[in-house]
Amino acid sequence: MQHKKRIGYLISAALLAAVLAGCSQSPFGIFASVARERAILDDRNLDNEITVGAMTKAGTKYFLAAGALYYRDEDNPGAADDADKKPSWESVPAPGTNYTTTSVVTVDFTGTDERVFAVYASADGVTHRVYEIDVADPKKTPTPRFETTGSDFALGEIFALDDGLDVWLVVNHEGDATISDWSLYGSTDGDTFSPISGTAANEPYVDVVADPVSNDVLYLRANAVLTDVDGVAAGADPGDAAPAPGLDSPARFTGAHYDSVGNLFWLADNSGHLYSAAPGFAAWTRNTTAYTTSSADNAPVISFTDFSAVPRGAQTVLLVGTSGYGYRVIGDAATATATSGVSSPAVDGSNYESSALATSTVSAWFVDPDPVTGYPVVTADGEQSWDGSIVFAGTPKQGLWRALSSDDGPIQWLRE
Amino acid sequence: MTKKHIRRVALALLLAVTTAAFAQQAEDEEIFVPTNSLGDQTLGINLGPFIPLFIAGGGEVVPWGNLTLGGVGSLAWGSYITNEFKLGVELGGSFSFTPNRRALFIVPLVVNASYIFQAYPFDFPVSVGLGTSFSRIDEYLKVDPFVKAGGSFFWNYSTQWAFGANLNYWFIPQIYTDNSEAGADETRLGNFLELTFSALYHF
Repeated sequence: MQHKKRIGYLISAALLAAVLAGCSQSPFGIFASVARERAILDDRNLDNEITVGAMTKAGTKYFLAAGALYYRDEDNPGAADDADKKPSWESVPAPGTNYTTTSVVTVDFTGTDERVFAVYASADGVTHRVYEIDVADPKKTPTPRFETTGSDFALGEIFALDDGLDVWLVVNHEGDATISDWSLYGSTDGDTFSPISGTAANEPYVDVVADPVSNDVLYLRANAVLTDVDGVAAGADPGDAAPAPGLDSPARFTGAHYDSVGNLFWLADNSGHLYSAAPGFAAWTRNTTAYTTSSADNAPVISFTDFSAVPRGAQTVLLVGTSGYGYRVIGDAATATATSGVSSPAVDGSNYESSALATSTVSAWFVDPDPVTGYPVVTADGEQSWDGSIVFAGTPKQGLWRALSSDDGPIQWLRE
Repeated sequence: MTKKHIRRVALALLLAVTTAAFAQQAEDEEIFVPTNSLGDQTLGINLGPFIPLFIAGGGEVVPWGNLTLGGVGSLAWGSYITNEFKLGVELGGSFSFTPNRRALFIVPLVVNASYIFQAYPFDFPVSVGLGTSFSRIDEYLKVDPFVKAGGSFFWNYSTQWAFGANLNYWFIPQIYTDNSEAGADETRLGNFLELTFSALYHF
C-alpha cells in the first residue's frame, strides 16, 4: 500500500516536472501577450533562416550580405496592392565558386556616385577580395578591387565613413607581418588601398565611425578604442582613447555609432554597458550598473551589439541591438546619453513581442530614412499610407526584418 | 357437475394460469436501474475542441482571446459520495494558437464536484471544479487559479460504460503583482469553453 502511494506521488511529481520543465518566469503576461499579438507578415521571398551580416542601399536598390549577396528594388508606389509586383530579392552572382560574403557597404566618394562594395572569402579561406557591385546591373559579376591571397592573409569587415575631409572605404586586413597582425586599409577612390597608419593591432576592428563636422574618427576593437581628432589621413595617427571609456575586463566592445542628432559617439559592450562621448573625446559617460534583461533577481546582463538611429516623426530614436534578446530603445537621440537608460520596445499594438526578433540577436541594422513616401504599404494592421522611415534588423539564422517607423502608431515588424 | 360447469372451470383456470404467466413475464422484464453508492468510482477520458471566448483586462476585451480554435483533452477520476453526488480529480490539457502560430498550452489540475440528475439510461451531471492551471507559451510558464463550471450528458450503454459530452466554461484569472517581472498591469482574465466527448468507465 505504502509502495503504491509512493508510486502515485512519483507519477504526480513527474507530471508536474514535465509541465514545468524548461520554463521560466515570463517577463510579460502570457494572456496579455496573446491578446495584443499582431500577425507578422512575411511578404518577401527571402529565406527566413539566413544569417545577415550587413545591409546597405544604393540608388533605389537594397543590398544584403548574408552568405550570398542579395539585392532588391525599394518598394514602389502602389506595388503593395499587388503581391506579384512587390520587389523581390535576387542574388548577385558570386565572383567565385563557394565564395561568401557577410559585409557590404555603400560609399559615395564624390558625392554624386554611390558605389557598393562587398568583401568575399573563398570557401578554403585562402582568397579574400573586396569586390565592387554594379549598382545599375547587379546581375553582372562583381569586379575585384582589393585582395589578399594566402593562408596567413585575410580580409574582415569593411566600413564606409566620412571624416569630413574624405570619404573612405576601410577594410580590415590581416597578415602584414606576423600571424594575427591586423590593420586597417583605406581607400578614397575604391581602387587604391593603403594601410591606415597607427592601426596595427593583434585583433580585427569591430567598427569604425566618424563625425564629418569635427573630423573625429573612432576605431573600435573588442578590447581597445582608438581615437583620432583630425581625420583618417591628416595629422597625427590614431591613439588609445584618453581618457579610456572604462571597459570592465573581461568585457568586450561590440559596436560603435556616431549620432549626428545628439552629436555623440556611442559604444556598446557585451556586459550591459553603454558609453557616450562628445566629439573631442574629453570625457566618457558610462552606465555604472549593467543593464539586465529584466528587473528580476539574477536576470542575465544584456550583451549589446550595435546601434541604429531611426527617424520617427520629429524625433530620431536610438536603438541598440542585443545578443539574444531583440533590441532595446535608448530614446530620443537629441537628449540621450549612456546613462539615460534603455527600455524594451513598446508592445501595445505591436507585433514585436511575439516575433522571433524579440528573442534573436540583432547583428545588423539598416535605416532607410527616405524611402518613397505617401504610398500604401501593407502592415499587420492592414493597408496604411506611409510617410515614415524604414528600419531593417538583420539576425543570425532568423533572417531579415523590416519595420515602418513614423510618429504615430506602434511599430509593426514584417519579415523580408 | 355438468359439462357446462366443467367448461367454465377449465376456462377460469386457463385464464388464471395465463394471467399469472403474463404477470411473471412482466415482472421479469422490469427495467434494472443501477445505482451508485459510496466508494463506486469512475474513470473518464474526454476529448474535443477548445474554444477561446475572450481575454479581458488592460482596459479591453479581446474577442476569442486572439486565439484559434484549439483542442482539449483530459483524464478524470471520480468517486461517488451518494448516488447523485460525485467528487473527483481531473488533469487536462488544451492548446490553441496565436496569430503568429505560437502555441498556448493550458494544463489544468482540478478538483471536481458533480451533482447528477438521473433519467435512466441518461445522466445529466452538473459540475464545478476548482484548481490550478499551468499556462505555457514559448518557454514561459505561469501558474494560475482555475475555475470551471458546466454540464454533461451521458448515455449509460451498460452498467460499466457510459458515453456522452461535456460543455464546460473555464475561468483563469492570470494575476501578476507589482513585484512580478511582468508587472501588475499584465493581469488578464482568460475565458474559455471546453466541448468534449467522453467515455466513462464505472468500477
